[in-house]
Amino acid sequence: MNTLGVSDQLRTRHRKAVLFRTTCATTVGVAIFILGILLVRIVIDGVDGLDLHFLTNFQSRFPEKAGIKAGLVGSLWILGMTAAISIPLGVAAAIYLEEYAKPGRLNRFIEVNIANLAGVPSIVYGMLGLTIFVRWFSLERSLLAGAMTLSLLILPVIIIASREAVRAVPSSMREASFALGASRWQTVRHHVLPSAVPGIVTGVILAISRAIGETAPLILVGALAFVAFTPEGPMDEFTVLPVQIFNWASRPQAEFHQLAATAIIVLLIVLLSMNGVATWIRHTNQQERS
Amino acid sequence: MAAPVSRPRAPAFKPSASAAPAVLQADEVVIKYDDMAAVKGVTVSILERRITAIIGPSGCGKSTLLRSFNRMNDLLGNVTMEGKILYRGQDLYDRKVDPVEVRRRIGMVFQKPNPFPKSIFQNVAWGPKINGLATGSALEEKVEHSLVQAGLWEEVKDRLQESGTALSGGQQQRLCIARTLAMEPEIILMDEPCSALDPVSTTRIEDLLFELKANYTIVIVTHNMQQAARVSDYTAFLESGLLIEYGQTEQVFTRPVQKRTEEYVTGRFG
Amino acid sequence: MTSPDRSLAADPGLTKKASRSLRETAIQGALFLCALVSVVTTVGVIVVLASESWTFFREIPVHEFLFGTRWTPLLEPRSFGVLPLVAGTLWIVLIAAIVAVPLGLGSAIYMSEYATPQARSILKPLLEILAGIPTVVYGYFALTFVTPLLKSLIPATQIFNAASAGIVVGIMILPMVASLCDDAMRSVPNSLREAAYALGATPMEVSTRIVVPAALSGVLASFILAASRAIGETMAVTLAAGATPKLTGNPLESIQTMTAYIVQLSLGDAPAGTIEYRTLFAVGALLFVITLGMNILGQRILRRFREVYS
Repeated sequence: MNTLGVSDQLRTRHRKAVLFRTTCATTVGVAIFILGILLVRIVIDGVDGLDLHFLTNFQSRFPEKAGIKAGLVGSLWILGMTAAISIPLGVAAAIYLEEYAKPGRLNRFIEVNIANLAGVPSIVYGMLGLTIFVRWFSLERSLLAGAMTLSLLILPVIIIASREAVRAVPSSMREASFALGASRWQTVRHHVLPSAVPGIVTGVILAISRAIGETAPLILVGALAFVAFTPEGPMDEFTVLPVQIFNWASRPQAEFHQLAATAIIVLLIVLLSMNGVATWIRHTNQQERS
Repeated sequence: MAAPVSRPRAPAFKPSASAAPAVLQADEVVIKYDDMAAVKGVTVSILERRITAIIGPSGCGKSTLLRSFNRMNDLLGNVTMEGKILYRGQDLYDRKVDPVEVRRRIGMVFQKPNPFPKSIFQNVAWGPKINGLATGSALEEKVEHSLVQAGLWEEVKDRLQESGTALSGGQQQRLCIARTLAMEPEIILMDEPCSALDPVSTTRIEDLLFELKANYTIVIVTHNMQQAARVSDYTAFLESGLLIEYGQTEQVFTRPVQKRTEEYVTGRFG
Repeated sequence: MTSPDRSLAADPGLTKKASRSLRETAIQGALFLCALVSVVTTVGVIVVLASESWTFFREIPVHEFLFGTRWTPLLEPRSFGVLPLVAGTLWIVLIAAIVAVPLGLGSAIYMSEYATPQARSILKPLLEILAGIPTVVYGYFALTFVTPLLKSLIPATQIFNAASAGIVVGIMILPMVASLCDDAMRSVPNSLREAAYALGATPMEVSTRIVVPAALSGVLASFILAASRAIGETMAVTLAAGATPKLTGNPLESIQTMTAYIVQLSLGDAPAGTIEYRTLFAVGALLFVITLGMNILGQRILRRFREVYS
C-alpha cells in the first residue's frame, strides 16, 4: 500500500476542508457584496437629486424645492460644539487615567464605568439629555443641549482611544524626561502628549464621525423635523442631517424617499472623508514609527 | 514571613581619610518589589569626583540600587525602601524632599539611548529650559558646551536642527550624556550605558568618562568586568542583593578579600 | 569648567518648591475631575431613569408592566404591559443573530485562519465601513430595498415588518461579531495550531476542532455584546419595523420595539409629568437594565477569556 499517498479518508477530509474554506470565504464575500449593494442602491436612488439647490434649500412641503441646508448647517454647528466639549474632557480624563492614577479601587471603578458607558444604547443618552440638559438646566431644545448630550455619548470612545494612544508612548521617553528633573506635568505636556497626538486625533475623528450619524438622542433632546432656518447661536433650535433623512424616509411618498437618498449620499461622503483622513493619519504615523 | 537576611562579616568599607569626601552615602538600604527584596541591606559610600563601578551577575540588584540614588524607583508603584540614602548629609527620601529637585542634581544615563524625538539642539536644551536655568544665547552656549563635553560637538555642530533619533547608536548615547550634562548635575548615574553599543562607541564613551571625572561624580553599573577595571576608581561587587565587597578597583580585581569576589572577577560564574 | 561650587556644608535645597507643588496638584485635580465626569454620567443615567420610573411604578404595578401583554399607553382603554415591545425587540435580535452569527463568525475564521495579511488589511477596513454606516441609512435601506425584496419572495410580507429591520440590524452588527471573534481566535496561541497541523489535521479541522473551541468563550462574549447592541438599535427599527406593538409569531408582520416606541413617543405631544410621558422612562429603564446586564456579562466572559490566554 502507498504509505505516503492520499488515502480515501484523507481525500474526504481534504474535500471537506476545501468546502469549509469556500464557505468562510463566501461569508466574507456576502458581507462585502451587501455593502456594495447598499452603496450602489443609495447612489442610484439619490444621485439625480444631488445639485447645488439641494445643498442650499431649506425644507419644504414640495419635494422639488426641498434641501438640506438646515440639516447640514445644524450638523456642522453640533459637531463643532460637541468637539469643543468632548475633546478636552476626554483627553484630560485619558491623561489622568494613564499618567496620574495609581492602581486602586477608585480608578478601577472609573475604568469599568467607562467600558460600560461605551455600551449603553445611544437613546438612553437622549433620555439623560432630555431630563438633565433640556429640563433641569432649562436649556430647552437648543444646540447646546444637543451638543452636551452627544458629548457624553462619545466621551467613552474618546477616552478609550486616547488612553491607547498615550499608552503607546514608550516609557523610555518618560524616564529620560524624569531623569532630567522634569515634573509629571512637564513630562506629559512636552513629551507624552505630542507623541500621542496622532493616535488621539485618529480616535477623535472616529468618535466625531459617529456623532454625525446619531439621530435618536437628538430627537429626544428636541431636534426638530421641519426647520426653515439656520441656527445663529448655541441656544437656537436646530435640526441635523440624520433627522432630516429620518423625516423624509418615514414619509410614504417616493419623492421624499429620493430626497432621503440624496441626503444620505451627502452624509456618507462626509463620513467617508473623515474616516479616510483618520486612516491616513494612522497610516503615516505607523510608517514614521517603523 | 521572609527569613532574616544574613550578611557576610566583611571588613569595613570606609575609604581612608585622605580619600575624597563621600557625596552619596547608602546605609543598610533594603529595596523590595512588592514582597521580593532586590537589595537586601547595602551600605556603600560614593566618593566625590571619582568613578564608582557597581558590578555583579544579572539580577543582583545593581540597577535597582542605582535607581534609588535619584529616586527613579518612585515611578514604579510597588517599590518599598528601608534604610537611608544621604546626599551630602541630607536624607534623599525625607518627606519634605522633592524628587524633581533630586533629579536635577543627580542625573541618569540609561542602557538604551533614549533621545527625545526632537532636534539635537532641543534635546540638550530642554532640561535647562524647563527648569529655568538658561534662556536665549546663554542657552545656546550651554548646549554647545554640553555637546563639547560629551565629545559630540564636532560631529553635529552643523546639524543641530536634525532629529536626535537620526543619529547612530553611539552618537545617540553621547547626546543623552550631553543632555544630562546640560543640567549641570553633581552626580551622574549610568546604567550599563555601553551595553547596547558597538565596541568603537563603547571605547569613545569610556574615554569620555575619564574626562568627565574631573568635574563630576560618576556611578556606573556594568556587567562588563573589563570595563569596570578599565574605567573606575572604586568598585562595589553585588550578588543577590548583598554587597560582597567594596574597595579601590585595583585591589578588588587583583587582591580581592572575599572568595566570592575572586570567583566572579576571574570568571568562574556570572 | 568646574562644576558649580557645592561645598559639603551648603544646604542642597532639595525641598519642594511651594509654587510648583501647588501647580502640579491643581493640574492633577483638574484632570481627575475630568475623569470623574464619566462616573457622574452613570450616576445621572441611573438617577434619571430611576426617579421617573419610580413615579411611574407608583401608578402601574411592576408585575402589570413586566408581564402584561397589551401595550396601549396612549389609547383608551389604556394598558401598560410591556411584553409586546420586548417581543418585538426579541424578534429583531433573533433575526439579526441569524444574519450576523454565520456571516460574522465565517468572516472571522476566514480572516484569522486563511486570509493573507494583504487580504486582511483590505477586508478588515471594508467590514469596518459596514459598522460605520449610520443607522438611519440602514433604516432607509430596509424600507426601500429589503422589504420590497422580501415582498417579492413572500407576498404576505407587510410594508413594515420585523424581518427587514432584523436583517439590516444583523448586517450592522456583523462587523462587531467578526472583529471580536477575530480577536478571540488570534489570541489562541499558534503553538496549538502547529501541534494540530503536525498531527496531520486539515485547516478546517484545526479551525473547527481546535481554534474555535479554544476561543469559544471569546466568541460567545462577542455574540452577547453584539446582541446587546442590536437591542439598543433605534433608527433602523423605527423606520422599518413598524409602530404596532403586538405579540406575534410572524416576523413578516409589523411590530414595535422598545426603542421605536421611545422615538414615537418623543415625536408626539405627551406633556412632561403625565403618565404617558413616564412610559418613556419606564421602557428606557428596562432597555438600560437589559443592555447593561448583557454588557457586563459579555465583558466578564471576555475578561476571563483574556486571562486564560495571557
